[in-house]
Amino acid sequence: MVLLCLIAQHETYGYEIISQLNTTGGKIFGNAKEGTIYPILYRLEAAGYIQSRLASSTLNGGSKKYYNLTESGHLMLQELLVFWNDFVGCVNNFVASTKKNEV
Amino acid sequence: MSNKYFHRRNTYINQVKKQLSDSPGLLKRVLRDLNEIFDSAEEHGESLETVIYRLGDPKEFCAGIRAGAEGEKSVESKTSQKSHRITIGLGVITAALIISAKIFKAFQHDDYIGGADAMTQIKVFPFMPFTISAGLFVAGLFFLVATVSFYILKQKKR
Repeated sequence: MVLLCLIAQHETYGYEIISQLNTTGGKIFGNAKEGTIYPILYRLEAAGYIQSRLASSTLNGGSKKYYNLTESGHLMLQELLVFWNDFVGCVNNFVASTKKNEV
Repeated sequence: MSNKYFHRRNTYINQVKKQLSDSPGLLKRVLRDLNEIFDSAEEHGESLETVIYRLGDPKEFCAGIRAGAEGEKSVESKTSQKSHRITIGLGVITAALIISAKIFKAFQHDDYIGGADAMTQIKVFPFMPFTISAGLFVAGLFFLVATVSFYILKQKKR
């Protein structure tokens, strides 16, 4: 879901995804590694949630694979966000009731 | 960049090549991505040591990639199974409609009351502007076009 959120923000490439994950979520998720992220990207692409295009990189002469969300990727993200909000709401209720009992 | 940089980078790439030599398709994709990883890191001023540390041991890196590829195959296989079921379903509907059209046509009565050469021949105009068999045949053709279009689209996506 985090990867879909990142790709939904703007078209992005592998290195940028990993950098953003480490900058924003490194403390919680631990450092993201290519060996973990790329297989997930492959699976998301195979499932049709993301698509990629190759573009030549002017800086290093190589090419970059840019990822963006497909229509079904957007739908999946919406579903996951709804589930996530329900999940957080449910856990928060448990935490709130525990806090009341603790106080 | 120094020769030492390229030597270390190539050493890592060669180790990955060795690990994934039995999966040429996967290796091709991983090599492309690996070169992008090294190039992007260089572009962002990251040292080769940091990238190699993050990539981890080539064996472990390849094991992770292989595990991902297995998951990818399973996703592809599920999608492909669903497509097959839809294509078969559409095909069955098409066949059923065309066969029904033929059966209706065979049992259809003439629209005339009386003998064909009789003086009192009466033509009965049907309630619908077309016969049931013609309707079924047209619906069958529609499903045939839908089945072929769906099949071609799925083949193109692959």
